[in-house]
Amino acid sequence: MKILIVEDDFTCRMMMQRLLEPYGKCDVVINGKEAVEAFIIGIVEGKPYDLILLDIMMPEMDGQEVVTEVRRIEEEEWGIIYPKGIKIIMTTALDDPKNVVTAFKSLCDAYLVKPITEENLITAIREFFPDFGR
Amino acid sequence: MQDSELETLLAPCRKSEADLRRSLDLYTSVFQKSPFLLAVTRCLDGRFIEVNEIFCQETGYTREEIIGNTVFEMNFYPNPDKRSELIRLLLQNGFVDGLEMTFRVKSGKDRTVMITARSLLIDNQEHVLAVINDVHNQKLKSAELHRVIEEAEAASRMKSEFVANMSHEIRTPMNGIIGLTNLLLRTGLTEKQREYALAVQSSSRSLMKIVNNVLDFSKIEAGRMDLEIFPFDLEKTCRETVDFLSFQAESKNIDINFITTEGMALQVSGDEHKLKQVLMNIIGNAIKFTRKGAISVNIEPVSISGEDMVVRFSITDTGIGIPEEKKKHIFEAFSQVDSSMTRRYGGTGLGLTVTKQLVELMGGTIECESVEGAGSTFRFTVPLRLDAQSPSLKGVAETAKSASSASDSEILPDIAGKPLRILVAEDDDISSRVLLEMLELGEARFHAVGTGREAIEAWQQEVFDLIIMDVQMPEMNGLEATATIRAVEKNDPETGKHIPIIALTGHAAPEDHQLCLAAGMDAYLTKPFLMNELFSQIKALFQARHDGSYDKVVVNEELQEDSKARKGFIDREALLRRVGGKETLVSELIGHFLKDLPMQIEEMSKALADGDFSLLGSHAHRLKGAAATMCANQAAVLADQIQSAAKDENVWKADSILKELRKHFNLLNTNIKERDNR
Repeated sequence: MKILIVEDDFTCRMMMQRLLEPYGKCDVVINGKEAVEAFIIGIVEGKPYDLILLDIMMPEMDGQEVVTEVRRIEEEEWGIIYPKGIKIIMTTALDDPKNVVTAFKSLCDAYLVKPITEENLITAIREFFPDFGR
Repeated sequence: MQDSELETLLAPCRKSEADLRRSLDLYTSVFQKSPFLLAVTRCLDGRFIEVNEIFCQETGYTREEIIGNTVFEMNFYPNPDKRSELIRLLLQNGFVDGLEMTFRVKSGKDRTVMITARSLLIDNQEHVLAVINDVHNQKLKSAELHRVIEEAEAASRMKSEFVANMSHEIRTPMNGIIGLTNLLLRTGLTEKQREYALAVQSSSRSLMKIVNNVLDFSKIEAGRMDLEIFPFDLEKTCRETVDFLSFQAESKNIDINFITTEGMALQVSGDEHKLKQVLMNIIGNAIKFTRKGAISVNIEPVSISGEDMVVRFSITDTGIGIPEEKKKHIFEAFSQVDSSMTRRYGGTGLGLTVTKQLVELMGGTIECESVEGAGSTFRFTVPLRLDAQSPSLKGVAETAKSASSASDSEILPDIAGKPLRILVAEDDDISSRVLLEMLELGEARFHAVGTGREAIEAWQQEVFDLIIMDVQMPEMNGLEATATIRAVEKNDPETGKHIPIIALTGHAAPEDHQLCLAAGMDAYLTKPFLMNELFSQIKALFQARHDGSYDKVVVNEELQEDSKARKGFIDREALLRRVGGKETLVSELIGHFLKDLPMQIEEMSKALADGDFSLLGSHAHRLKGAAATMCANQAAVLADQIQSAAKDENVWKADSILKELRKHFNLLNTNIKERDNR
């Protein structure tokens, strides 16, 4: 299991990393641009990520843009059509319905409202990877 | 009586006797020489009256052994049930046609035969003439035929599987080409370079499309394609596909109209992925073969019974159309309308074949109507299952903005204003390429070699600031090379230098890392690694050299104690519950957060001083997330207020809340410091 954590806040990303690293390889990037690059490099190296935990509000390229870009690359370059492809769980402090709708419109797989807890994190991941952490 | 008279009298008799003998001879020889096994038995007791030569030959008995014995005594038909059936049929109908029986010969061997029998009247007594046809050879022949067909099918399946495997193998290096081209396009390129890179991208996309088609085709042929049924929103799926392709259509000035039947149920279960693939292929084709006009995509239910619904999709274009005589071949493999079209429009000639296969796999049908020069309509049906519940999130229209990438990449540290000079020793080509690509983006200078020995030579000839070395290399591995370099450094006190070496290992095992450090390497990275991992590793190495030590965070043991101020600031118990009771993690997190917070406050103050409200808002948002995560509830509330003040561009309010936050933190900090000093 290979996980990419995309989060601009130091504390939040450290917490997610520490909570998840016992169960899989966790890489951390701090903005959307790096996230897209990491996603591509994963495929190039033949070890693609299984999951992206993606913050919505970030400088440079925000989470919504990352989802759109990742899905576009998957479809255009590799012919991978959603809902195949990498699983994306959005994480954010925003919990207003507009953002949730936009997130799904841009084809993310699930949505996780901060604050993150070990329990809600693992539960969200188990939606897609039922054996995660077992 | 005179002899002559007698002769005259006897003559007719002689003649008729001769005639009789001839007749007897004729029929006897016909009977005896018949190539079929013939037997005449008396109905009354089943006694054999006559059998022919081949009957004796095939059964192994002499004629004398058979004649006069009954069918039961001879035991030709060992299966009593079948024997009863034969007798019953004969009594009932007076004949039997092609009854399959087991036939036992003298040697005890059983054969499968086909019995055809007719009843005859001989001397006013019922008899049976049986023709016994040995079907053993026929059976062998048909078994052989079956085997040959199976072999041929297996060979064809194997070929398909081979092609499937090959296509899969081709995709691996293709991933490299496509991914690196994509990364390349994200860098600052000149007009010309960009043009070339886009050409590479376009070619590799075409190749990928071909490979994917071939892969699908051969997977279906090999019977390795299964349906994956999940619930989905039919309209959303279709609209996504149309939206996705409308970009292509717009560039040719073609409109795509998407029409659904009003009131039609859209929450369905089916293989969404394959449906999308089919739509992509057909709409994609429509765009490809249409020069001007419009394309319409129609979906309508054609039948609904209970939970089952059949949906018809019609895609109509105003393109070049298909000539009448070619129409029936368009779904066959490798047949574009004519081969010159392949050159003009591109493609494998597999697209429609795969499309048809996919539609049929889903249980539907596909057909095409076309007028040459006027356009084509492709219609296909797909059976779907209606879903009762409909998720509320889906189907709300709001288009997400497409992404545009900024190009401000991280830059590596420099040495006295000069870029870092890095020696890269890595034998794997792709890894090396990726690494160099990253270093290039970091504006470092580098020299690449492929073995440990070459690395040592390069190190002796040129001056480098850093070596990045793969552990596993031919000729001399990274560990040996490092040991050699360290030995030379030691014996050459004049330079007194210690060049930092970062190891690249393929394994994440701690033993491997121990080995690296033992050999004299300074740090290690596990492949594959990310650009920011590499950069932070390099930065850490150079920072360590400047500061004398790594920037290690010391977790204050005291922090684990509850102080009044901190208790008000961070709800430690809640945080502990949140991370599943991991004490050390909580201490670590609090340590980091308290260290990070003043910097965040400074950043916000600076943004406010610059009047950059959007930056202030995004900083405040970030802090809000962190504080909420840390159960620092009051800080989260303050951050939220700053965010809304920033949104309203309310300087006064933002400033006063920021001050309060600072005060809040200072108070906490003083408390901690005071306690530490005590």
